[in-house]
Amino acid sequence: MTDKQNKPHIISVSSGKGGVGKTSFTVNLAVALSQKKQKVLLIDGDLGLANVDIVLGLNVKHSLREIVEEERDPMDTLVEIMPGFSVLPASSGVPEMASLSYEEQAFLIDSLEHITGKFDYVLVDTAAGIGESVLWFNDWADTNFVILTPDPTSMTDAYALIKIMHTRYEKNNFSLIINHVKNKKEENEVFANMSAVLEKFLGIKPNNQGAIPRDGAVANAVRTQTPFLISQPKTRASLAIMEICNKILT
Amino acid sequence: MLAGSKKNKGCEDFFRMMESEAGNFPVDIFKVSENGSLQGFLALESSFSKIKKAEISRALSFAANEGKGNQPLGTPQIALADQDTLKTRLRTELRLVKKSKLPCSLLLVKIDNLKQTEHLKMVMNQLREHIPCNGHLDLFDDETFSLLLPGLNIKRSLRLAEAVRRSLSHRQIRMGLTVCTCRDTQKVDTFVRMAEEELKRAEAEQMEICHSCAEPGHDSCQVTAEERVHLFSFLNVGKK
Repeated sequence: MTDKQNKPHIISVSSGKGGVGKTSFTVNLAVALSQKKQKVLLIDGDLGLANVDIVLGLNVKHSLREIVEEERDPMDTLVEIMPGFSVLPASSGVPEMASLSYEEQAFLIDSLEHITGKFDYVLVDTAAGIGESVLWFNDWADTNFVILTPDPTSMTDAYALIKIMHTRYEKNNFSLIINHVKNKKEENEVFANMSAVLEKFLGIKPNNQGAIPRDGAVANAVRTQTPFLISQPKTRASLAIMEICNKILT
Repeated sequence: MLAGSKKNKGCEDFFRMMESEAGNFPVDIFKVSENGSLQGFLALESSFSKIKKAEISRALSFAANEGKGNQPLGTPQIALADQDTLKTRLRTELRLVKKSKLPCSLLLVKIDNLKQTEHLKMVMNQLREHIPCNGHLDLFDDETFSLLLPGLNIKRSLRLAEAVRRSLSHRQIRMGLTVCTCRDTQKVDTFVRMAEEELKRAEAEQMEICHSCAEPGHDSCQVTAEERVHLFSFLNVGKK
């Protein structure tokens, strides 16, 4: 059980490249962790172009924007999706939120730290790219999940993100998640290659957090605005998410 | 109007943050300090008349502590704190850099013939004009002032240093500047030594200002061609 004094495990989920399945993965991982009786907070870290509310089909009244601009209490902004799983939504189409000043960043992190103690896990679904908010959310997190696909552009962007976080923020604890893999062979190849390059050039040994196979259920779930772990719990993608969840808990 | 007065080490962070915040509003800050350490401050709207400010300052002066080192509010300090006080302040500021993600600069200004008291007072007053409300002016050694500048990044610090240089252009002046960012926080002694080294470099190279900033250049993280080749190597297995 958690209490106010607990330090939660903060996990950032980033990718560098957009469209690799970051938000879908993070939402379903949050569902999986809550199904395992963990208290989970999912923060939509894409402050200017939020998507978590869309993937979950939420009608958001308040967001992180009000926390920053109106100093609204973050507790009043939380949306409980199911017992043990709450979301802190962000705003969409607000460029000011995508480029917060140092003071606003510090204020936001301070505000978030007031509520994170109530949870076991805090997942941050960051924006794509290597913007300031992506970097400081990754800096804030205890563990950095980097999601990539077997696409060369995705691998390059994931590598660039890791390089920045390692060089500028001295981060070393990266976990790779390979999405859209055809089979186990492809998963192994991509991980082995990324791992070798990270070790050769940056001296980092990433964790193999797992892989998610290509699965039509994922696209359907996004269209129906329901996490695939709930709508199709036995599909291959759902089983992969549960495996990743179990790795986190062990 | 806001006033704080607790002599409590735990309040230092609070005072510093309030001072930084006040910089964003049209208010004038009056500090109350003892032995170089901040005890409280008063913030008055900038629109207050000078007479009104003087009245409030007089009314709120610490009569009980008169003659024991406390300055009446609004009265500028005459004596400057020393290097030890600077280091105490730096400890607080560098802690805040990590917490607030705001940078902090230290500018050392070495001026010729500073030992003569009259010169010292004159230069001190000139330097005071450039310091933001949350900054500190201390005497680093016989010939050198230290300007502790919380919240100032390298660009703003260099602008301030340039303004200092212009206002003291009739004197021989050497400056050493270093900036601490949240990405690379320093220990107090290391940070001071970095500023000293920059000052020594300015003297050795006959420059008016030398600076260092721990913030890495933007290109230092660029993915190189060699890294790309390795990243894609497994895709090209079997290809010519």
